[in-house]
Amino acid sequence: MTFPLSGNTALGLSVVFGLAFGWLLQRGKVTDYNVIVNQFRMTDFTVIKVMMTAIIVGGIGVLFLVDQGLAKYHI
Amino acid sequence: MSLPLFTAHTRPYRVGIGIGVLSWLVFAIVAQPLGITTALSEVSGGVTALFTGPDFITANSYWSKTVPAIDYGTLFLVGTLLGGFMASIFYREFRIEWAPAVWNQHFGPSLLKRYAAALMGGFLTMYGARLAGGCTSGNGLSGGLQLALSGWTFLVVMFASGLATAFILFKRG
Repeated sequence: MTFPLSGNTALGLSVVFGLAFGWLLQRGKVTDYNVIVNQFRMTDFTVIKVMMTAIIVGGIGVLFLVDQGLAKYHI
Repeated sequence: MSLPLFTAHTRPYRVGIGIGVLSWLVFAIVAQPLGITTALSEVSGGVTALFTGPDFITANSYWSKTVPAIDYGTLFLVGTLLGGFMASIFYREFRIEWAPAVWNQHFGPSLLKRYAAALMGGFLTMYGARLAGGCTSGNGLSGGLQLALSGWTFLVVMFASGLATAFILFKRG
C-alpha cells in the first residue's frame, strides 16, 4: 500500500479521523464555552495546555514525516 | 500500583498528545492538515447554491475556491461533529443548555441577549477565520505545528485579541 491514500478509502478514513478529532476535543473540554471564555479570562488554562501539547507532539512527528518525504506541508 | 497519570489533571495533555498523533496520521495517510472552516465555507456555498444554482457559486471569487464537494474537508467536519456528540453521550455529559453558566453569571438570564451576542460572535469568528484562511484548527494547530509563520501570527493575534475582548467584556468581575 502506498501513502497517501486516495479514493473511497481516503474519504472513509476522513470520517474516522474527524470522529477521533471531535471525540478528543470533547474529552479535552475545549468544546465548552465556559472553558474557552475562561482561557481568555486567564482563570482556566485548559485550551493552552491542549493546543500547545498538540502542536509540540504534532510538530515533531509531522516535521519528521516531511523530512523523510512521507508528508508535505499544508499551509 | 497505579501511577497518577490518568487523572483529570493530566487530561488536557493526554488529549493534546492524541490530537498531535492524529495530525501525523492525517498528514501521512490522506495528505491533509487538520482543519474545520474550509469545509464550513464549502457547506455555506452548497446551501447558497440551493437558492441560486451552482453557476453562481463557481462564478463567485470567494466560493469558487471552496467548491462544495464530498471531500476530505466536509467528511472530516461531519466526523468531528459526530465524534464530539458520541463522546458526550458515552461519558454522559450530553445535555440541552440554553445558555452557558459563565455567560449567565456575568450578563444575566436574558436568552435574547445571549443569542444576539452568540450570532454576532459567530459571524465575526467565521469572518475572521475565512479572512485568515483558517481557524483555530487549520491555522493555529496545523499551521503552528508546521512552524508556519502564518500559524504563529494567527495564534498570537487570536490570543491577544481574545484577552483584550474578555478584559473589556468581563471588567465588572
